[in-house]
Amino acid sequence: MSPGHRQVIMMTDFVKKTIRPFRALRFLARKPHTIISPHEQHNDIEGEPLPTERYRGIHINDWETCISCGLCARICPCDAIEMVDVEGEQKKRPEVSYGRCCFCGFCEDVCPRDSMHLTSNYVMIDKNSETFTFLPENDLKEFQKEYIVETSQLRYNDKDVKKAEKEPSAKKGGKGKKKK
Amino acid sequence: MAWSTTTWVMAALAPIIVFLAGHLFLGIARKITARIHRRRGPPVMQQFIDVFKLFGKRTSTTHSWVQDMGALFAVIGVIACSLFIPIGGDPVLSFQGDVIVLVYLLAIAPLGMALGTGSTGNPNSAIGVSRGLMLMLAYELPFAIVIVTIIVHFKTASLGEIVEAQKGFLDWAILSLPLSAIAADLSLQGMLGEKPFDQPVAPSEVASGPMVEFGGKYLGMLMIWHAMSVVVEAGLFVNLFLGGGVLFGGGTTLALIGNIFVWLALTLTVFIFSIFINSVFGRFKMGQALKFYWGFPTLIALIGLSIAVLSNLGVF
Amino acid sequence: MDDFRSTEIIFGPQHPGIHGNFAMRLELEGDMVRRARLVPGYLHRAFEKLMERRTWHQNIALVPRICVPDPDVNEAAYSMAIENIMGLEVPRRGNYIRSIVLELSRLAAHLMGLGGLGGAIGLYTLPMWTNGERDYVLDLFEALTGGRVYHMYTWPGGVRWDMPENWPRKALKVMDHIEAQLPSYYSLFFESKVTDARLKGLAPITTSWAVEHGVTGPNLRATGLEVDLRRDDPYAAYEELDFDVITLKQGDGMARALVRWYEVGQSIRIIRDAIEKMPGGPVIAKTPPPLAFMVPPGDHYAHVESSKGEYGYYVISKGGKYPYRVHVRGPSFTHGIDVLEKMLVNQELADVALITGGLDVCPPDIDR
Ligand code: SF4
Ligand code: SF4
Repeated sequence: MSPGHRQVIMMTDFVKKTIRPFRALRFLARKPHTIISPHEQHNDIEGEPLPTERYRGIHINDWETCISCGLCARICPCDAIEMVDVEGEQKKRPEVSYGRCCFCGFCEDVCPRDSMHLTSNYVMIDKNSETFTFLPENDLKEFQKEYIVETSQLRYNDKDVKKAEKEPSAKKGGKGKKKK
Repeated sequence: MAWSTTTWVMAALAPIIVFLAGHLFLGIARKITARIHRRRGPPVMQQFIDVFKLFGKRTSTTHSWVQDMGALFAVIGVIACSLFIPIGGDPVLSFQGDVIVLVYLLAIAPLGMALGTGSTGNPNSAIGVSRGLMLMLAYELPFAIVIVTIIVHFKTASLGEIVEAQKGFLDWAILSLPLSAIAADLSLQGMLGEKPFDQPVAPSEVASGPMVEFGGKYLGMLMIWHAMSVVVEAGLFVNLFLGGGVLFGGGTTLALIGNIFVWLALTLTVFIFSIFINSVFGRFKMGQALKFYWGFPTLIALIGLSIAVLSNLGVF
Repeated sequence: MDDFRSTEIIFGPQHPGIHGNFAMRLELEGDMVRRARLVPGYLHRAFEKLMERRTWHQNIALVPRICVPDPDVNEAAYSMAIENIMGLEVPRRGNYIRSIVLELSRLAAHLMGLGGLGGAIGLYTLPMWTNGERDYVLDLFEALTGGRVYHMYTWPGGVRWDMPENWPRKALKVMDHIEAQLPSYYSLFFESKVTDARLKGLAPITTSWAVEHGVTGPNLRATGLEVDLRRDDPYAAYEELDFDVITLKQGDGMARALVRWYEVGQSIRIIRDAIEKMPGGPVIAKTPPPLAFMVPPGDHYAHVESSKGEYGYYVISKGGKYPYRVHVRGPSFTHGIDVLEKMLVNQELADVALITGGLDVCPPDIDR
């Protein structure tokens, strides 16, 4: 390789390596990755809403079938479940403390009557910290559902949000609809 | 020198325009950076919100009155600079040699910051400040050559007259001195502290350097300084190379207002270009930045200077 | 500090350049690091001791927390050790799903690691992009395992559940998507003059030095030695899957970054291959229920190739419901303490975060 040739290669390499990174600018015109939570639905790659069925969130427990065997309390690695006496019930019921629970789902796995379940709802906001220790029942508690209603009424002073609200189709946008 | 009413009004308005424009520009820059990152980004007004929030905060730690002075120094220095910059072709302070005064004044604000951070005793700030001064040394060399080139080319050292001489679109210095314009733009990148030349405030190296001991109102002050210096420095480039935004002649108030908007638009364009570079490159090390500035930009600035001198002598 | 020539900088845990909860004390002369002392312990949670007080299955919920970016290797290595002591045979389908999960985890960890390199040189575009792509991988994990970051999915004997029906199709789509994004990362990060200036020739190590100091994984492969536990001591279904072991010769920062970059491509290839060859059948061997689970006396060391290096679990059982002793061998302990202390000497302050990120050090694993 002659010295001149090498110089030419170095020059082209320099120019290439100065210009190539600017290709990133083409993302200016693309749809962003992020979504406006909670106004937009978080979707997966095929546009199906998340969280999925298997997501391990807040517990529910069917008191009809629960036999109060206490296995869930024994398997729990975080000691989050305690069997407590409930007024008007003869049997003890599992009580979950969300300060400890790590959402492993072992209690669901081990339950002999299939009564304990982890729902895919994970939103839980309350000012009183004592609400986070409760007895799971057949359905989600009121304050867990409340949050979902409340937040969707929040308004941000952002144009994107308003646009997303105006066009119902854009509401589902976010991640799922992004093209390559 | 008797001032006309317009000059008086401009003297009061110039810092305000620069203040408002600076925060708006930074807000737009945040939005653009976010889009390149494929994020949505904060609202454009976020920068204003941040500054007002910071001024609403109680300052928990101060180190000494030198720190107060340092932060004040920075803001006052940049306000003084804004009076020298012809906004829309109308300089408040204009005299022969004001370009050179301006270049000195631009260095005052960083020195004030150096003073303030020096008193805090944090080693990260000390390293950040020494990096900042070293970087200044690096980019001032090509920039000084460019200033000389401009003075030689227009045969005047007054910013007002330089803007005057670029009345028509074809007189813009970016067309007659393209090499110097490139060198000046590269220097501008360092002046604005955008990547690849943001070593003084590199978070992952010196934990944001000079800012590290500044919280609450101090940080607010530094943010104002940063926002205003963005407009002053990018505006200087517009005045030197892009005709200073003088689009409407006639000298009426309406024309002046129009020119101010044109000037702001050009400044924003220059700044956004710098933001583009900022968001696609990493940062150099200090030594590499020094080597870079004293290499390529200095070389083309020198070539630009010789072309200007030769054409002045009538060689071409 | 006996003379005035040097400054001491406490680099972390409150420092944007540090990769988590550990600290370095750097003695600087000018811009040069003359001595580096690592100060771990901010995240010490005594995992090995905790595991002695928990049943074999409860530990599955504990171990992934040892390494946050790449959690599945923990579950896999721990389960493999138990299976070996018990003589359990994992069904083929279970092994294939394990391989897929391990590769997805490697993919996510490498994407995050590459993003960290971008962050260390101030190129914040790269971490934003890679973390955006990583989110799709987390979506996959969520659909498969129910958890996004900690999955608790690999289980002694196999995996907890079978794949949902549409999951393979989704996984292939995500792989296509990530593969389509890879060129833009390459042109942004590796085809840039600034990255060249920062990474080329950064803290080079030789193979013999690396072996002497216990460097493993991508960092060792970047010096030119072809080692990969997936090929040398195959576990899960790696014996039947197609992939290349990536090696580069230079041993510098650029080589370490590039090895990770190429491994992302290999992971995609492995996942595609495994989905294609996926056999039928059960996913978990017949085991006693978790609360009656006993492991006969014995001991075993099981190791896997994680995204950071060799990850091993040495499990001793004296029979009964609890492990007698579990020892964890994490790659970040070696890379993050001994190797890093030596590599930082005579480097510039500006490079400290970059070298740490380049070694892909994971502080939770140092402290355990
Ligand atoms: S929820 Fe299930 S495991 Fe728990 S006490 Fe009831 S039946 Fe037993
Ligand atoms: S999910 Fe796990 S940690 Fe939570 S209550 Fe159930 S067993 Fe305990």
